[in-house]
Amino acid sequence: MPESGMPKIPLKVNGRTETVDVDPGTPLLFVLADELGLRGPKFGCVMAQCGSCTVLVGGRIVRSCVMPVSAVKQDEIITLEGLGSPEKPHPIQQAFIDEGAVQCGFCLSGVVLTAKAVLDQKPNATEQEMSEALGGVLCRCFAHVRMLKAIRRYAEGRKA
Amino acid sequence: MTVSRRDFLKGSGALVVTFSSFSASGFATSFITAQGPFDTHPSHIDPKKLDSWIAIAGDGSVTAYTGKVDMGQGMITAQTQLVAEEVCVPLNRVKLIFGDTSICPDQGTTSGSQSTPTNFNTTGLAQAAATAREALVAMAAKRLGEPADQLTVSDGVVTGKSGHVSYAELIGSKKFSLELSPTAKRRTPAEWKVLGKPVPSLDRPALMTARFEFVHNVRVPGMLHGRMVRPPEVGATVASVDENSVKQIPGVVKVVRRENLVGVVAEKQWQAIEAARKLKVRWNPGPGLPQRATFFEGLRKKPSRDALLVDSKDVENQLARAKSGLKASYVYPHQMHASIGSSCAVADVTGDKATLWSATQSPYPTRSVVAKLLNLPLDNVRVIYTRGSGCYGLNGADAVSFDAAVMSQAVGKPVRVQFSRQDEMAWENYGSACVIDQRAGLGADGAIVAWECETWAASRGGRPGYEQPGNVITGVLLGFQPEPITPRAAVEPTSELRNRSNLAPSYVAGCIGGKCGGSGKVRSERVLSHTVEGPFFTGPLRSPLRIQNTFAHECFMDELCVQAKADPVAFRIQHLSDTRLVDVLKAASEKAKWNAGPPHSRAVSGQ
Repeated sequence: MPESGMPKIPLKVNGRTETVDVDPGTPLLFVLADELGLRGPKFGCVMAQCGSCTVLVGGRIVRSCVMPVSAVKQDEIITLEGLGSPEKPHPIQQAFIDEGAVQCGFCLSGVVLTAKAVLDQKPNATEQEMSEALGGVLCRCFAHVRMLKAIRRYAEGRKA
Repeated sequence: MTVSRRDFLKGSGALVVTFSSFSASGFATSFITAQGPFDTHPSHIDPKKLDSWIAIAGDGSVTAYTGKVDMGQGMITAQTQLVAEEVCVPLNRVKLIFGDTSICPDQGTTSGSQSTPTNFNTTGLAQAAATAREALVAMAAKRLGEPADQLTVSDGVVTGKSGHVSYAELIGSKKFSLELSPTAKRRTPAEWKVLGKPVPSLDRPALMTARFEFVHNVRVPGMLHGRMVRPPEVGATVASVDENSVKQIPGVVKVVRRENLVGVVAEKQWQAIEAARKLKVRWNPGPGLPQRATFFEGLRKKPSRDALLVDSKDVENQLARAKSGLKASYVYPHQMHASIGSSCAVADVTGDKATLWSATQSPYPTRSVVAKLLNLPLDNVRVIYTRGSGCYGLNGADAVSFDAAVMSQAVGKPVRVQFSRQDEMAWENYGSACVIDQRAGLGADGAIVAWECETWAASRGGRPGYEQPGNVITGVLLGFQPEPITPRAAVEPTSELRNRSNLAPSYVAGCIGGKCGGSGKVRSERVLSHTVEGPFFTGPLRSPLRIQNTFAHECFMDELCVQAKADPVAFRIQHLSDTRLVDVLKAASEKAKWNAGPPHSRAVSGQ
């Protein structure tokens, strides 16, 4: 398809409405990272195997590297930067900061957003359920133990 | 239900071990690991000058510069603490800039756990910061008319009997114009205000809220996207490239070919991916891979570069006198670093200048190699370290930096190159495949009396250093060769005891010329290594050859426990002298709810 024939696609991202000019088959990850300059979703495997490109679409956990941008439609997209800011982090981000649950940081979108989505759906999710949900989210630095502690801290905090 | 580690071990039978006939072969010396250069080169930033390391601004804030880089290991936080401590200012008044060759001194490669020793000991950042404090106190002494040793320093203010003066007043925005003082006195732990106290790593808030800029996030005005088209097999060369095959794809800017390096540059990343997928390249086949079935045995037969790390020279005697003996061979496959993010770099090569945003652990060496590849003067190349995804040794970060530089030069515009998962996994510098032979003897009391270890490691390339582009795939595709492995017999080890090398077991204290070392108690020891040429690029994985040899050592230790009918934890502790290792073992066995006792005999012999 020639460049000029590309349709403009409206997207709701982190509370704003953006319009992008790309091939509708382009995976959402490339639109968020390259067109909108967002830093949350990462280029990991780009094969839906690692989780580092994770975003929430309409509250659902989505691997943005394999979802065509045209499939998003009216659903709101939330990326890791959409949750909070360094000055005002979301409570789950604060829990990760407090527990030091990070090394290189490349996997955080997958870990943090997956945990948040699970707890949004099921505030009393068991450790087992959380581990299963995070089973497909890779962290190669092996910060898992601290991450699970951070998630526990957040889960307890939101109940209080 | 709680599963103890022992239950777990009982249930997991698979062990990659072959017990084969033991061959006592010749012994040799000298081992060079693929760790890469710890050396540095002279550059436009003189490490002897204080201004190369520290600057104090008009508001009294401190900027420090280091050539070591933070990949997520937390180095930058610890070294910011170091500067704050030595200069005597609060932590939040220090900004540590790292890995930018335009402003940071050359400190070689960030590797081998050397960033802390390099900057915390008697050289580098610590010496610079201590020199700066002493210089500022000397200036204050002059200003206040009091002897320097009567003055106190706190929070960037020097105080005497007659008054006080701040760093900003003393030097704000001006240069020190001093040399580093080798006698500058470091603050002692008793004086520490910032060091020795836990500090949350400084990058955490930005990482957690995705404001942190990874190299994958670098965007430069006018930037294009590149994608590599790698050979289908090791050693394949380009026969022809059909540029017409991608002409119809929108956004394609150029098909780049230099020697056997092929790539596509497009306006958008997705277009570059499409084009790389569709580009028709005819390849001449490579020489093929070695047979899998005979690969490991084949390593033993190759010409090798040998190193005898420790030889107490009584191993044969001790083994002959031992009450019982055990030998085993272990094989360890090539292993990927498999970074979660495939490697990425951004290069802006316009005219005779190049700027590179790179996750290399070696900013200055990378600058040197890029200058060589692009045929540019060294000082026209700037490398800005920008974190990639965790690399754990040597992933594709260096190779993709070279690719981006070549692609950008070819189009005269900034180009971002991101490897595909295949590019990364097929061509990164894997951890070496190894064959490891072990032999040990037990005395009448069941303790180990002698231990011999012989390792063959498949090697190819490694860190490119300052002048070896061929140590990674991009350099080879551009016509360079990997650093050759020159076969060489081992020489007798003399002065340097390599008992704590990555190859030696933890349980030995083998001696050379009466000098003992190591973290263990077994005094009779010989460690011999053979580096041989392998088919795949290799490099340090976590630490060079440590994981491979530790696997073999600890498996063998378990077999010795069976033979000695000893509890595996107690048996290990019995053979250790390093109290830290003992503490680690105790802590680990407690956490694992270790159920002490001799191991169950397993039918392993002859398998």
